[in-house]
Order: sequence, then C-alpha cells, then structure tokens
Amino acid sequence: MEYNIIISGIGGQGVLTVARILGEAALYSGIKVRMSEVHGLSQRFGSLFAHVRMGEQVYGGLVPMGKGNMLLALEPAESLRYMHYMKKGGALVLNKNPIEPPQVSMGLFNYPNLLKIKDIATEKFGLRVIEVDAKKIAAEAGGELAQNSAMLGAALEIPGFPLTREAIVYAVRKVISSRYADINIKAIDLGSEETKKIVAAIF
Amino acid sequence: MSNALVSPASNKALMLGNEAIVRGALESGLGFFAAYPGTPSSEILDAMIDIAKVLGIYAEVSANEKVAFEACLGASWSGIRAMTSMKHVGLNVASDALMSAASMGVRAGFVAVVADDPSMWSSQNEQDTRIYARFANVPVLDPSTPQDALSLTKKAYELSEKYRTIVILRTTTRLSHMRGEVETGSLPQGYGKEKRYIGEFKKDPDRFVSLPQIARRNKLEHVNAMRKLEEVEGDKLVEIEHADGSDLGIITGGVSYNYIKEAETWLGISGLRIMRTMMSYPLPRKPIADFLKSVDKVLVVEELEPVIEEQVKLIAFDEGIDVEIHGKDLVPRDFELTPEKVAISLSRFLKLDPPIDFELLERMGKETSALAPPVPPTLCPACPHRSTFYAIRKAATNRAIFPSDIGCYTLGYYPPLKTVDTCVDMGASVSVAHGIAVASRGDGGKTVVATIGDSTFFHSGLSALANAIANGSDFILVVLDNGTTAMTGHQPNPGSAEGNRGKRISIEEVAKAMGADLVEVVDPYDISAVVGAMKRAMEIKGVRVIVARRECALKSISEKRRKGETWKRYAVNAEKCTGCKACINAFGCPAIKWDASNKKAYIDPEMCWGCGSCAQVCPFDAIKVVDDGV
Ligand SMILES: Cc1ncc(C[n+]2csc(CCOP(=O)(O)OP(=O)(O)O)c2C)c(N)n1
Ligand code: SF4
Ligand code: SF4
Repeated sequence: MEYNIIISGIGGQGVLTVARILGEAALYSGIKVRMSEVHGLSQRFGSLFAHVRMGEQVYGGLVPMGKGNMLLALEPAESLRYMHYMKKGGALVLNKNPIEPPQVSMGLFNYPNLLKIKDIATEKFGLRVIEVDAKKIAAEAGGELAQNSAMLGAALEIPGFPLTREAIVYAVRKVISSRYADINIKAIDLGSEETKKIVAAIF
Repeated sequence: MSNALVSPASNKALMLGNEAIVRGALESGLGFFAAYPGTPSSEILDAMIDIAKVLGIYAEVSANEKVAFEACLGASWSGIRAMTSMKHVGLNVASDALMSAASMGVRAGFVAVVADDPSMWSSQNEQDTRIYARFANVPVLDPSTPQDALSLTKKAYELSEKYRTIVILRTTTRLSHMRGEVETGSLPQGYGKEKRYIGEFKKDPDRFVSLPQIARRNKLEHVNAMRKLEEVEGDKLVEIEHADGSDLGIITGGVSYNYIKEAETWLGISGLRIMRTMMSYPLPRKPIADFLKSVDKVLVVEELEPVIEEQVKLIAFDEGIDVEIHGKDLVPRDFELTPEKVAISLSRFLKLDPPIDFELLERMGKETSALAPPVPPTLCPACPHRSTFYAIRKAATNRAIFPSDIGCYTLGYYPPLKTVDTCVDMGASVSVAHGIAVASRGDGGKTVVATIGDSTFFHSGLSALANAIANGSDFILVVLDNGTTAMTGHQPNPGSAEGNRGKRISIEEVAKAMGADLVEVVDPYDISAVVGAMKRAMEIKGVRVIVARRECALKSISEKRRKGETWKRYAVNAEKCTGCKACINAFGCPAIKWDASNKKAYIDPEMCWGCGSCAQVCPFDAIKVVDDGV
C-alpha cells in the first residue's frame, strides 16, 4: 500500500493542522507515515501546501509527481497548483468556498471560475472531483473554523483512503484544542454524510 | 510541550526532523543551548526554550548566531555539553568563530546544527553548509530521516568528545520539516532534578589563547585528530545495501537517499549497490575506495554542491581505481532535489526510460498553475509594518529610496506598498543606506529612508548605525519595532518586553547614546503621527532615527484568541464608499475585499484584526468600528 495526499490552501487556513491530524491518525493506525510541511514565509497568508504519505515503501516526505492519490484543496484556486502531482483517477476533494487574494481585489488578476477548475481536473488530469461546501457544513456543526474537519469527513468516504473515522477522531482530539473538538467531530460526520452520495455516483 | 521530547523513558511519536534533533541532544546529556532563529532551524530553538525549565537546561535566544556560537564554546570549555542551531546564512555570521575555534577544539561535546534551504523556500540565497565543514576542517553529519536525525545527533556528541572537535549536523528544509515516526531512547539520569549547566572552566591558556605559536600547534593537533576520526569512525558512518549486487553503484547521503530508494521501486529495478554516507566530510576513504573497486560505474546523488562527488573523484584518482564516476552531469545542482528529479537522473544513469513524462507533466502543471491567482505571502491584517510603510510613502513620496532588510517587513516589496528597494542580508539596510546616501547625491539628493526590524537591529544593525553616525551619513532610519522576531515565529530579542532572561534594551536610548541627529518614537496605528515624525525628520540632515513601536498583530491576536478575548472590528459603510479603492490599492490590508458587482469595498469580519488604520486611509470617512469587541 502507498497512499499519497497533498493538502493545499492559503496560510492561516490550517493546512499544517490537517496534515498533523492525518499523520497522527496514521501513527495511531500503525501505518508508516512521512510528511512534508512548509513553515516560514508562506505562512503569512501565502499559498501553502503539505504532503502526507503513507505506506511501507514510503521513504521521503515529498509526493512524487504523478503519484498522488488525493488532493485536499482547502481553497478552490489553490488546487490548480498541484493537480499534475495526482494520478489519473485520483480524488480532488475541493472546498468550494474561495478566498479572494489581494491581487484579485486590486484588479490585477481574475479569480478562475469554479466550473472551469473542476473541468480542468476532470478533463485534463482525469481526476474525480468531490465538491464540498465546507463552510455550510461547518456552520451547521457550530463554527466556521471547523471547515477543514468537514473536508476530512469527505476524505473518509473516498474509496481506498487508508484511515478510519476512529483514527481521525482520535487524532482530532489529540491535535485540536479540547474546546473545539466536539464541533470538529460533528463536522467530520456531516462532511462524510454529505459526500456519500457524490462518491457513489462517481466512483 | 511535547511529551515525547521530555519523557524520561523511550517512546514512539510523530516528530519533525528538528524535534528529533532536540531529543537526540537531550539523550546525549545536553546542558547549554543558545541560538538565533532562522527558517528552517527555528523549531529547535523554540522547543529548547519550551522545555528548558522543566529539564533544568540553560536555553537562550541569542542576539545573533556568532554570539550564540561563542557562548556555546564557552559552555563546552566549562565542561557542559552545548548545542547551537541556525539557518545556513547564520553560519556566515558565525563563521569567524567557527574558523578559529575549529582547531582549538572543545572540552564537552559541542554540536552546531545548520539547516540549509535548497530552493530558498524561506531564504535570500542557497548555500551548502558542507562546504563550510570542509573549509573549517570539521566533520559534518547529514541525516536522511527524523529517526536518523536523532541517532546522528547522538553520534555527533560522541565524535565531538572523542576527537575534541566541533561537529556540524547539517539538515535541510525537507528534513527539518519532515514529520515521521521516531523511536526515542531514554534520557540520562538527573534531568529535571538538577541544573544541567553547572560546570567549571579550567584554565588552559596554552590551548584557548590563539596566539600564533599556540594556533600553529592547535592546527596540527586538529588535523591529526580529524585524520584519525576519518580512519577509525569512517566505516561506522556508511551503510551499504546489496553489497553483492550489480556492478552499478550509487553513493548518496541526506534526504537524497530517500529519493533513490523510491526511484528503485518506481523504475522497477533491484540489486543496485547503494552506499549511504552519513558523514559528507571527511568522506570515509577506505569504505569509499572499496565500494568504488566493487563497481564499474557509480552515480553520486546529492543535493546542491558536488561535495561528496569531488571527494569520491579524489579518492578514485589517489587510489588509482578504474571506475566511471557520474554526479552533477546527471543530477541537478541548483535547487532542491525531488523524487521525480532523482528518478530521472537514475534512469539516465541506467539508460532506462524515465518512469513518467516529466516534461509533459511539468508543462501541464505550469499551464494549470498559471490560472491560479498568485498568492504571495502578505503582511497580516492590522500588521503595524503596513501602516508604517504607508505613512513613510505618504511623507516621503515615490522619489525617496527605500533600503530595507530581512523580516516580515520585506513583504513591503509587494504592491501596493512598494517601500522595499533593497534587501541583502541582516543589517544591510543601514549600511546600504549609508552607501547610497553618500554615493547618490548626483541627482539632487533623494531622501533615503531605510527600514529595519527590531530583531534585525540588535542582530547586526547596531554596528552599521554606529558606522553611519561616526561617518556623518545622511538618511532616515525607521526601526519597525513590533517587540518580537515575527518572521521566524515570535522569539524575543533584546528589545522585547518579555521572554528574555535579563534586561530589556531601549532602541531609542541606544540611538540617542550613539548621537543620532533626531530620535522619535511613534505608534504606527496613528498614521498622521508617523507622517508628522517623518516630515520633521525630512527637514534636517544627518542620521535620523524613528522608532515605530506597536506589537506584532499576529502575536497579539493569537494571545487574545488563546485567552478567549475579543477585539474591535471595522466595516465599510456602503453608502459613504465611493469605490475609490484607496484602502485596497494604496494600503492593501488583506481583510479588505472588493465587491465587483456593487463597485464598493467591504471588510471580511473574520479577517479584520481591528487596527483602525484603514479608517484613517479612507478619504471619504466610510470605514468605522462596528463591533467594539466587548
Ligand atoms: C543571518 C540570518 N539569520 C537569521 C535569518 C532568518 N531571519 C529572517 S528575518 C529574521 C528576523 C526578523 O525579525 P525582525 O527584524 O524583528 O522583523 P519582523 O519579522 O519581526 O518583522 C530572521 C531571524 C536570516 N535571514 N539571516
Ligand atoms: S506576523 Fe506580525 S510582523 Fe509579521 S506580518 Fe503578521 S503582524 Fe506583521
Ligand atoms: S481595521 Fe482595517 S486595516 Fe485594520 S485589520 Fe481591520 S480591515 Fe485591516
């Protein structure tokens, strides 16, 4: 087994926290794991990524180009930077809520259309897109900060994903402040629920 | 605090490479730690500060890397095991100490961790620390994984004491920030029960005073010790896989080893003879020579400079070994290596088809990424630097020249602020400003306004300011004093109100004592006050210092969040907003967005950290507090 995940988003969104949760869940499950994180400059509201790799054949922290199984995009346009790291047939789990970057507010750049992003993922890279309205789910669970947990809930539904709900819940309790753990766990379950139908249709 | 770091018993945990180094040092009986932060090394310092009290070790955030290095030397000479950590360019600052101390040697073990940043993820340049090791003639160990980082840290202390030498432990961004499972050993007795930094300095001026006649003897002794280290320890610092494999060999080290292992599976090959060396300098001569004799063709796979390759070629030449040696002809020399780059190098070496159409994928990746709006890092909402930069530009106009420095504020380079015209190395803002002020008087004398952060000021701005004042220079220096070293994760500096072991030093008093021609302290959140100070400064000549003081917004918001406190929020009154975009196109707080359908600005309430600066920027008085945060 080798399972490669790239998490992409913008500094401040919690890219590294999601990676930590996946890593702790893998350790809990007895799966060998290697992760790469980006610390430093990009954490100041810039494009940010983390890699999480699981499996016995895994040595380094970087997902080899073309060998990714899942792209967990916490922000839609940020998915465009890493699609070419995915395998054909891989999953793009996409939070559909954009964060408008300053260059767009300043009128220097147009934000790409969501339909176009999904189109590129399916047509150009052969990915299966699972769109998640993480903002809505998080609000339902009790707090906007739980968006990433909704994404993790969605990931749990993807065939081949090697981690269980139990492992993810354990890791959430370990990594996230106990004050917010319950809201996040609720968001995980809501995320799974919302995703089940989409997954059944495309996998 | 991570339990895995301080637990006396051995345990298994997910650790960053940097955390594994910390644990390795503790397992080796560390007592003294001093460092200046720098990505990707900073987590070592942060962890040491975090655990110091509990474990009874001494840990400090030093003013710069040279100071930290020399303090460690003093501790080692007093019989206390010491460690410093720094980013690659930190060693440039500490190199004066390294080059002389190398041959004087240590008493208790002294390990300098130096973290390279291939591809310059968070750095101003790319350099290979292993070349420093060769230059100073000290051993350098090069781990591949977090587990390896722990065990090689312990090995480094063993070598340091056995051969009385400083040892460099070199990591890279990819290893420092790689997380993986680590099985730790146990801590030696006594941690947490007693102070681990109580030693004794035994005088030995015939070793510790580097007068020429002493330095000559020290040098020869050190050269001999290094020769012995290489001969005796060499074969324990290499690992060979498939010793009876094919007649094709790989020599590698550091994270490149991981990529070779993965390329093997990817290309579907097996039986390649792989030699991993954990010491890149001095390269273990006998094991390398034996390995070279066992193969017809060898590929050296290493990141950045051909440090291993050149030594391998020397050994082959000296020993008269007939073997074809490849390295940087097939492996990229610039930037970070990746699994795909190494797979391609290996396939070229083996004359196989590459496992993927790398060029095609990369081209597709480029095309696709080009559709994503660029999202470079930005100053945080409410960042005091933004308000200061805005005010500087308002007072000094576009005609001024803006030498700047390294820190969060380097982001003032980006539009709309564009108040960073130069950035070289820490402290250079002041000295470059001095040079420009002297040399650019030709076009009628533009105002030169330099900016420097408080941490950078204490790191290496002090001597530059003394020089400028003593030489009668002519520029304005604005010290962006947010009370912390923000860029690298909010470590204290000598000007910080809290976090230091001793006294706080006042920047304005330092500037006055040096004889600056004007010294003022202003609050960046009061934009007209900063503009006023700038205007007063521009009316006179000489070296004028303005201290713009306001706590780092990210630090203060994080503390409020932790304590469950709230803060003020601002909003745009759509009726008053004329859509002039001044708040976006001249100021640029990332919380302010543009509603294209209404042609009005609005503020994302989740992102507003309540500084109130945009309200001062808006020419139509359209921005007001809507939630006073109580
Ligand atoms: C010699 C050297 N050491 C360390 C660093 C890493 N580094 C970059 S900026 C910075 C400190 C910035 O602090 P400050 O000047 O206070 O600015 P702030 O980030 O707080 O705005 C550090 C430590 C470096 N670039 N060069
Ligand atoms: S961390 Fe502090 S200094 Fe750095 S950009 Fe954010 S608010 Fe400004
Ligand atoms: S008050 Fe204005 S400038 Fe300050 S953080 Fe809020 S939106 Fe940004």
